[in-house]
Amino acid sequence: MKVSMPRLKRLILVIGMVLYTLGAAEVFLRIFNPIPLIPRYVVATDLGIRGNQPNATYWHVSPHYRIQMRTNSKGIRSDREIPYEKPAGVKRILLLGDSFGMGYEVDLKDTFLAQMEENLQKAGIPCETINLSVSGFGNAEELIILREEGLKYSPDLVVLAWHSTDYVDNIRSGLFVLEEGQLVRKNPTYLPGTRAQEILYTIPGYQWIADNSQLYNFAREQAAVRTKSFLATLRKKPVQNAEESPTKTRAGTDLAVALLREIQRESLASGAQFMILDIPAPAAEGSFMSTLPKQEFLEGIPVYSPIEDLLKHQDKPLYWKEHSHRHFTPEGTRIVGLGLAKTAQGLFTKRELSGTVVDREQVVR
Amino acid sequence: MLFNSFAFAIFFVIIYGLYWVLRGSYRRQNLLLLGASYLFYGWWDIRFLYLIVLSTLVDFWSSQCIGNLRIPVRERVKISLLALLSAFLFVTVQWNAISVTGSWIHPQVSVQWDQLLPSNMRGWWVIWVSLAGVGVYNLLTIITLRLRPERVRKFFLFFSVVVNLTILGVFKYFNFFVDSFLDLLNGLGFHTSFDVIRIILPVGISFFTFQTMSRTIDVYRGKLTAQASLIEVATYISFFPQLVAGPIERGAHLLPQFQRPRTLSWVEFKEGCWLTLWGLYKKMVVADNVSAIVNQTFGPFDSLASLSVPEDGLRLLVAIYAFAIQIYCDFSGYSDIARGTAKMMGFDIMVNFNNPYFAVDPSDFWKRWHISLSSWLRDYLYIPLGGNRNGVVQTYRNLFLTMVLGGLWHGASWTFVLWGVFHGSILILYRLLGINSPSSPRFHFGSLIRGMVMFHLVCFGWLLFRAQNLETVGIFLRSILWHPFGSSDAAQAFRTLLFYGGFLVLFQIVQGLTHSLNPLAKAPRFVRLNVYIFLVMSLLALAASGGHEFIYFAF
Repeated sequence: MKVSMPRLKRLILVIGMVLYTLGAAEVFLRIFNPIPLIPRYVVATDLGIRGNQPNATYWHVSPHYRIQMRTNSKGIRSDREIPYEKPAGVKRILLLGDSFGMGYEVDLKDTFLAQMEENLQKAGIPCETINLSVSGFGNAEELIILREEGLKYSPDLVVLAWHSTDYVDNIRSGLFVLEEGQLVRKNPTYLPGTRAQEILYTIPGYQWIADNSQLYNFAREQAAVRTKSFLATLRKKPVQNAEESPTKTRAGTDLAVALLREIQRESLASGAQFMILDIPAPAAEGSFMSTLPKQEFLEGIPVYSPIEDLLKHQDKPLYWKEHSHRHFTPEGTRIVGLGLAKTAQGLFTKRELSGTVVDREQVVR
Repeated sequence: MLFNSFAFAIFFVIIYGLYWVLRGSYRRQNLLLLGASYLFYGWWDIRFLYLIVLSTLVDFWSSQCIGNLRIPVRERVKISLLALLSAFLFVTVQWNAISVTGSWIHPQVSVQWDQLLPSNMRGWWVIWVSLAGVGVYNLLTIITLRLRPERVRKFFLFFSVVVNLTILGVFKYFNFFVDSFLDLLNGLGFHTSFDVIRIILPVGISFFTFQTMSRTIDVYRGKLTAQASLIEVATYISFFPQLVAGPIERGAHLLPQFQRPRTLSWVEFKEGCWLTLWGLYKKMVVADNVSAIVNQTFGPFDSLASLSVPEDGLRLLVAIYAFAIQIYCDFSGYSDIARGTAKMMGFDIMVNFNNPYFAVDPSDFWKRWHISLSSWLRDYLYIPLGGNRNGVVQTYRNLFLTMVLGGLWHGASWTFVLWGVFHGSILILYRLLGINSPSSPRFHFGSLIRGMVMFHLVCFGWLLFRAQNLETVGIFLRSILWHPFGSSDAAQAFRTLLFYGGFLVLFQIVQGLTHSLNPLAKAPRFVRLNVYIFLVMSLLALAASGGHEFIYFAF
């Protein structure tokens, strides 16, 4: 088709203006409201759930930090390959969790798992840690990854990093449901967004934009929030802030408890000990809130809640605040890692659990 | 329904679409606007629609009698029935007996039929009162219309003003006067306490009451004819863009726009979009973010939780500056959105703010701040009181009274009265000192100094305005004057103020230098594009969350 010059000029002008507008918007965000660039390199796995992309190297960037994320051939956040065979005389610790567990927003050496390992080594306990956490995981996926992959490593201790979002994630995934009090596998797969991501990644330049553009990430986040809000309005349900508002329904709690119990059972059956790290949610200024189901539901499961330890270090930034996804800072992971090591040490030496179990409604000031 | 809400965006898009479809008939457009305006207002509380309808009917009836010295029987019957119907629909029917549950997709409507209408005679009191009122008004009309024309005109003007001021007095000032009376009794040693009914303040009552009164007075003064249909008058009074927070329009300016076809031009649409965008920026990005500084600083004193004088007076000073910016952006932002949305529909609404913080004296300030109210007070209060026609003392008295009543218009509180007293006093003081010359359009150093002095006087006024009690005023003054020191909190507050208010200040300077409220109109396309990008991105990325209400809704 023959295009006349003025039209072509106009087209070029419009395209130029659009590109300029996008560029200017990008610059605006970088100057006035920088948002953290935290791409999730998550792919579909043969297990029907998500997993970290193997052998990936990418960056998490915010005004506070620039962190290189690296995974090994099995998608584990680690700089080395970890064989299934356990070295003799070494305690193996397996971590199940989400982005908190994976150590988002801190360097590999600063994750609480790495800190735990370091503290245990210092205490004279030879150990090796394996991080099976994947951002976005709930307890349902954690149970699957433990059964299908984690137990192959013959762990001595399984640590589950509990986070407030687990209630919602467990229900949303539909991987397990409770039928007459029994935990039953329901959906064979739960792979939200992975297919769309795979398609998008085939577009040349998309991955670079997703990893580096503030505007893209801002737009995606806004679109997600607004769509969620709109759908919630349509359904007349309040929008749930996954960070602050766990599904406080009996069904949510029952499912979470059943999953935790099943993970405990699988761990103990394989000869490993099991414990929960209760990651607190920052509440009002100077306080933290446990979101774990009540102690009575989790009797017999050792729980380490770092609330008291964190409260002793209030003067330091323990969670990232502005321009972040509000995970632990290196200071926060250092405290949690130390507390975890002490708890694990206690478990290994069959001593009493030194951590505190806190009612999930209780706010400690 | 707030301008800065998603609900309003959807509402406006739908109304604008229908308005565009009906562009062939301005009368149908008026009907649409009337329905939309009532929906817009009823969104807050459907019962208050009765007040608007009542005010409209009384003024329409009165102005007919004032302007034409007659009102046809058919018209009287129609208005009487409308009054009763609106009393029934908006007050007597208990709409909350109808509840909608479920989702928007699958709504479930349930009606509690036994609660839809009052079960006893007492519950129908609004109907009885309205019936009595309608009867009395009909009777008075029949009797009065036999009098001499001048008496007829005076009577109906008096009646209309009394009805409107009674509505305003009851709904806005009843609680204030009762509380003040009880305080006075307690102060005199009569320890009295009795339960009084608490009346909710209808949103924007001061605005629409003044707007409707101005039309009747203008008809009386012969500045306006009474030749407007009831629909046109009703739409003029309830026009949704400026219904709840102004500008307070005049019949002579706005009403004729409902009596002729409006043109929907691209130029006006663009200008309307710009005004709306700029207004939203001022409200959502500047005012709502800066309000955090203000609330944090004033908060402890509002509830009298703290009565200690802070050692960092600069923090308190920054909070007052922040409030000056907040109230300006909040109110002028609303006016801009009102003007913008109206302009998109082909209406021209008066300018309400003209760089008020560039004023060099109090008189100049009131020509720039809330222009629609200050000119209303001038035309309908100051001049009728005698203006400056009866010597210096009378002029000062009139000025003072006008400002005190202007202060009271803002709210039923002694701090607003004090604010009015303060502004009245500085108006008189400047006149006494002979420094009441008009500001020169050209910049010079003297103007800068005078402007800075005036700005700080205005800020002192804002302290009176914002403080919830007189103790707060004392604490702020002592802290600023005796402890003028900074702190990390003060520095942080200042940085926040600069971050959110910086562009506004720059833009105002450009407006001042170019003597144009829209300097972008003549700016190169590239500059315009960048400003639009900046404003849109600010709204998307920096707007405070939570959909804050407009401060002036309470007035």
